[in-house]
Amino acid sequence: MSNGLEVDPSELRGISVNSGVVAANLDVLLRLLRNAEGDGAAPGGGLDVVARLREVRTGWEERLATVRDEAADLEHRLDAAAGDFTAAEDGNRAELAAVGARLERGAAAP
Amino acid sequence: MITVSQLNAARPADFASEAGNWSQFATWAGTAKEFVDQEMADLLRERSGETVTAALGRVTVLADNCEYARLQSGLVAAALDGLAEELGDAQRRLRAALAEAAEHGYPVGEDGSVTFPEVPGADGGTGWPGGTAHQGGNGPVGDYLDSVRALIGGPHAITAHGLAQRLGRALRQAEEIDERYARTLAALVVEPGLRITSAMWADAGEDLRTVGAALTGLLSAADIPAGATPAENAAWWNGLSEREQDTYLALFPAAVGALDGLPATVRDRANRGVLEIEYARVSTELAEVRAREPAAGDPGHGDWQREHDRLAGQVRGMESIQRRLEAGGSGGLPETFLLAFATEGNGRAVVAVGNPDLADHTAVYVPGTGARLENVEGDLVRATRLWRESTVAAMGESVSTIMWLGYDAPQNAMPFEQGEIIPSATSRGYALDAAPALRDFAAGLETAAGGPDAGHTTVIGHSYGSTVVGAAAKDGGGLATDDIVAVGSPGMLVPYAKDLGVGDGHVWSMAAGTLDDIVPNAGRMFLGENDAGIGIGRYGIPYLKTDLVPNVPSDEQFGAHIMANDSTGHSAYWDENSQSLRNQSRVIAGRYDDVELG
Repeated sequence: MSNGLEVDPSELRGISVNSGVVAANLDVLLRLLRNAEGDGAAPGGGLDVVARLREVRTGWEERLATVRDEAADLEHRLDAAAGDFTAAEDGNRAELAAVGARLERGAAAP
Repeated sequence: MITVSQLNAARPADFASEAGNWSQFATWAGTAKEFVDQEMADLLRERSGETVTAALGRVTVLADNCEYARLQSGLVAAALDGLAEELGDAQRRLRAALAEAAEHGYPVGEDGSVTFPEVPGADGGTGWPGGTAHQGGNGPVGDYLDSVRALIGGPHAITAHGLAQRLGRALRQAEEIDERYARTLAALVVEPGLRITSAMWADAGEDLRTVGAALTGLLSAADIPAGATPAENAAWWNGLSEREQDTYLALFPAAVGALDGLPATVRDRANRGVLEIEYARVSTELAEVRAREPAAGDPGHGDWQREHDRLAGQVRGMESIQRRLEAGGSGGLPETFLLAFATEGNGRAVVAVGNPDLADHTAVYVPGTGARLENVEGDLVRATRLWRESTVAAMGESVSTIMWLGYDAPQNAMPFEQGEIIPSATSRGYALDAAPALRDFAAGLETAAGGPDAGHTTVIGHSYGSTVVGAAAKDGGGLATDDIVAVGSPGMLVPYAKDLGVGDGHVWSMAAGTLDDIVPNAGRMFLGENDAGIGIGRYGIPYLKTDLVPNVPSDEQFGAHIMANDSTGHSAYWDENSQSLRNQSRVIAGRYDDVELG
């Protein structure tokens, strides 16, 4: 990471990509958790513990889905913010170039 | 009521397999936490602005979820492992009894009852009547009557009765297991939502106890070595399977995190969990105390205020540590490791800047009088500054600096401070009590790093902290370090540097002028040591040693290298860009020739 405190759009994009990595990982993890439930045949029919385990699994599936959505949303927002900063930077650069050109023309004038 | 068919058809191995899934989930969550911290949060912390602040807040929530998932899924895995093993045991007992019943040709009912045939008499009549034996569990009287009936019922009745008893015991065992683990898993159902609330962290502490209590006889805190050497601790840990290590980490993080000799990464993982849980617990307690503040002038207000301040101080200290842990990996600093943490006594916190297991140079900084959890911030800053300066001095070699608040330090140094006529800092007791812990910690670092030649170690004691270092090193104590630095020392309980066991060429002292730092002279009579007594001279002739003034490390006759310093007070030895900080750092980096002597 470069030093200084200004926002660097490329770094924001990097963090956005990483947030996407987290979201994608969570997607895989969720599939694994759901697959672990198998065909629904409980390993201990009639045992209370099976129902409680299902509640634990469902609870985590819901939370992980929420966390995955948050990571995905963060990915998109950071990417959009990086785009905004890039556009603003480009605008500033164009404005500075125009000011420079005007100054040069003024200096060249008799 | 669990039936014979249900227990017989249960698949304990599937619960074990499910435990494996949750264990993998815990591993994933731990890795994800590191990824989010290092590849997202650390990068954002180096920036500022509205966008960055908002993003950092959301990234922190992601990291919290990963850490919480790591702790909780580890507990689910441990519970399922326990369930699989205990249920498997009940099932084995049931199946053994069923097999015997089948051999005899006795039908077995769903409730575990065993039907047996009649035995014809010699005259063709009924010799012994047939019947059904029921499982026990009917209370002492009922069970007794069943036994009597069996005894007078003939050979089949006796055998069937025995089988019914065994089947009944297996079913009742399974029922108890089912009920216990169902209750345990119910406690581990996660709340919906995105944020990990303070109440959830506090509950996580309770969950540890719930799961630990459920796993009766399988894994126990008693199996964790207590009072063993760091090498023995390491041998125990290395002898566990990966799954067992995960289970111990999940169930007993405080005990595992405190074990000297274990890798820094393991201790860090354990202690971070403890910190989160303790922070939630103490914060909740503080909120409750605040809610019941007595009216001003109430006789109980003083006690209330003391309790309030104690808890508020602990919260403040834990927040300092959390901030320091979060800052690891950013701002040019390496990762930070929480090597020990507890709220007991004045608090315990051992924080390493950089991984000591991998460092070429490691320094352990021992703070002095007044050190406690609530004001740990200043000592963390010193360890961080030592890391930055030593890293420069080390010229490319790696450094780890550790803040070791591993003891209850005296809390006052001046008479009448905090109501004590004789200040506690004049007592040797704190240092002598702390010495074994410091010795074990240093030996643990050596073990985890791979032996005495794995790296170069320096132990730095400030003020009373140097007394602790002296207590740990004296009398052949064997403090595992290459160099010792005493800063503003009031005495090290030995008369000479050579008594510290590292060779007097490796003992360094730094003290400001007498007016800038009065501690060495103030402490000399209490914590310094003289060389008076009977000595044995040439030809074995005894002589009287008359050195009546106790030595402190800043005395020339003590025999340490006296380092130059520019400190303007007892607490200014770690000021940025100071000669004091630079010289300590050169010792840490082993650049002895560059140390400026005073």
